[in-house]
Amino acid sequence: MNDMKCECGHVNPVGTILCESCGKALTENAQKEKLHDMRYEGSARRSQTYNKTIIDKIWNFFSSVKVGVWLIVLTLVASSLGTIFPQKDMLPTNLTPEEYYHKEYGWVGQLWYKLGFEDLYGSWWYLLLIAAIGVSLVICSLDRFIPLHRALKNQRVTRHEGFMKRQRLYIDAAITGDQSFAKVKERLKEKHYRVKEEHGNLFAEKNRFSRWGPYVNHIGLIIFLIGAMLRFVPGMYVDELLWIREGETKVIPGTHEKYLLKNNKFILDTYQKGKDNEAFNQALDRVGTVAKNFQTNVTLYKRKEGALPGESGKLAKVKDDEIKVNHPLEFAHYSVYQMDYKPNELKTMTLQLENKKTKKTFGQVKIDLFNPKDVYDLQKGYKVKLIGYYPNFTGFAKDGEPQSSSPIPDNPAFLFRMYSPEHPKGEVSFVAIRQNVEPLGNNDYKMSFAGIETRNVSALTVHKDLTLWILAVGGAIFMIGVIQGAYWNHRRIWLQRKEGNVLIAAHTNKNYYGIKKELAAILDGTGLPVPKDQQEGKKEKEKEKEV
Amino acid sequence: MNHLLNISSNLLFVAFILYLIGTFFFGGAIRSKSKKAEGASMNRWGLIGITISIVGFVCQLGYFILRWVVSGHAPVSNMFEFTTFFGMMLVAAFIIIFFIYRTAVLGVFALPVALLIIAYASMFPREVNPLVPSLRSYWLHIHVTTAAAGEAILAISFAAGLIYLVKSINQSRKSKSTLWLEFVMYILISVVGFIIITSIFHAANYTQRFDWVDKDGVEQVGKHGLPLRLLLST
Repeated sequence: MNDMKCECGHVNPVGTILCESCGKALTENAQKEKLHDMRYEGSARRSQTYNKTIIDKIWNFFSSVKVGVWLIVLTLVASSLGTIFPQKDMLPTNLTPEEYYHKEYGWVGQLWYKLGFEDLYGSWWYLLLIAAIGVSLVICSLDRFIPLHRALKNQRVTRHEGFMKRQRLYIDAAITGDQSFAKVKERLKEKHYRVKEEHGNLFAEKNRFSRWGPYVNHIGLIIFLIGAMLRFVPGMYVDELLWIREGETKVIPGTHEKYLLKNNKFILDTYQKGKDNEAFNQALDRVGTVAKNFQTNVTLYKRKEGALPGESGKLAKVKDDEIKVNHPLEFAHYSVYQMDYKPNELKTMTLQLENKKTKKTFGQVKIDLFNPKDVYDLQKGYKVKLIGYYPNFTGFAKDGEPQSSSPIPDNPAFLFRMYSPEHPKGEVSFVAIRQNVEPLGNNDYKMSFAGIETRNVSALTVHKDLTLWILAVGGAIFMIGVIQGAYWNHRRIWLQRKEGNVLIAAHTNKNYYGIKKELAAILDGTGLPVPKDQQEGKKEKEKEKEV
Repeated sequence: MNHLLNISSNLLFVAFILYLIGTFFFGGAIRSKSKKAEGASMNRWGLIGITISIVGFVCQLGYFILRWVVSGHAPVSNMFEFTTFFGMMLVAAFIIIFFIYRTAVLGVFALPVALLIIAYASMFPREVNPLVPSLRSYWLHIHVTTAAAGEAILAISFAAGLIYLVKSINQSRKSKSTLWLEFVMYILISVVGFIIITSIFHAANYTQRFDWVDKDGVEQVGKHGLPLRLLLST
């Protein structure tokens, strides 16, 4: 196929419906129209012109707005499906995801897991959907923007009569006397139109940039999508949880073992009557306790250059800080937020060896619940051997073996062998909180409770997001595009003289009500006729038919 | 302190009453409109209505400022405060739009809705509450207030759109448009009904309590402010 040369001399690309320059209808269909479809200026859109090769078909598929809307709907539905049950990263760690979904949500949970919805937002098909939206946005925009831009650039002042006639706002009237366009021209300039003149014909245009609004908006959206996708690039995005006990020093996850954090103290403040604002008293009476501050006092360390992970000696102190809710610890693009806490976790438990009859005690054993010793020697022939330790005792299995569900000492239980001068071979005793079992017959001795030590545990989230500024830039461009397209209208007015008649046509991409009012004001008192709305007349006729 | 808090609550009550009175004036404004020419809807009734609305709004603004002074934080920190603020923004949005378009009919919608919203708000605990750590952020002032203001302005646009549809849709004939208009109306009446019913049961101090054992064998207690007997007895 060859380019199409219009009778005005302008060479149009294949598939053009209305000549880019003079606006003459180049296809038979367009010539038959009562009003032209002006949405893309009758320009040659690739998707409407070629449909032969595979590339054409792919292009045409993605250039359809309908397809784009369906992709968005599918993504929305998929995204909402992912919120029905918690995602994989949100699960408690003591069960595998498969067990958790089954136990918590039954067969529905099992199905959910089998379908792979436990990591929906990271699944290949979800990313594919997002990518397809991106492709659709780019192709939709290019398919429309390039020809539209060409057409608006090439438009000339004097349009073909047929083009004028098929605008929604049009009038053709004989005028008496020599009405000049001078007054109109002045008025148009007052209304901020850019006016061009050619052979005594006028062309006034304003706010063409408003037509680019949707495309600017799409550029913003694409930048936003790229930012969202960049989260999957290592080093761009970190979101980790760190449980840290008072006194502990731990590597901060997500920092490549470079930074360590020491929890010096966890503080929980509540509002106090009398101390705080007295206006709160009534609320405190009703609710009881209200938290005022969650705070972890920490020290941040950095591993020295060249030190290997695990070499704890080579640490350099960076700073002391107080992490509060909304006031994170910040360093090297990382923010560490106060997230959760667990008060009074057991640290040590002290028990004493006691003769059941005489109630006499023979020394204490202080057991570090995170690092218990095997043997505690109490001198003078008394000794306690720890033959079993169950940090989170949940009961006995069928074979009598005690069970522990986790290494966290929430409900510690011990199996002791107690040695005394009377029992050199030892007596066996099972001790849990408020429980004392003697599995091998009656004992003379027992381990009685003497005291505990506790400490607080603080949960911190480690956050790093280098994509944030990209999202902000994308979002800002998105908004600029919306505003540009929504708050301005592209308006054009054509005035022509033809054999004693004057032809006036006007076009706007939106808000015909506005342009009609403006036209009336511009033409008022000039002796020129005001264009009529050809579509309104049609509508009224249709209405009459309905009735 | 308590003294200021009392003044604050009283101002809210005054605003409530003024909105009620304002509603009647706007009602009068659209009734007497037929006598005058189209476009001149700013008649005496409308003028009194808008004056009362502005006075009511100023009173409610007084409630807001005094409560801020007493509590030390922006009073948008719980359901009562947020909902009353939303009602206030609704009136503010109406006043702004009234001065652009001079449509009294919008007042017939905006003021009673603001009334209902304030009434609904007072069903939540009303005392000044201390801020939990997560709310102790400057975002409380920015995010919550702009969200409420935006929602309020959208609510007024919604009302304007609905009024337009009621006027322009041909309701003498059954069509898709009349069906969906009716659907919107049904939802609106349901919301109003819900607010009225919950208000009545709340005023009567009614709570329905039911106990159950969840799947982990833990006993749970549920409380509800409305009777659910019909549903539960099956």
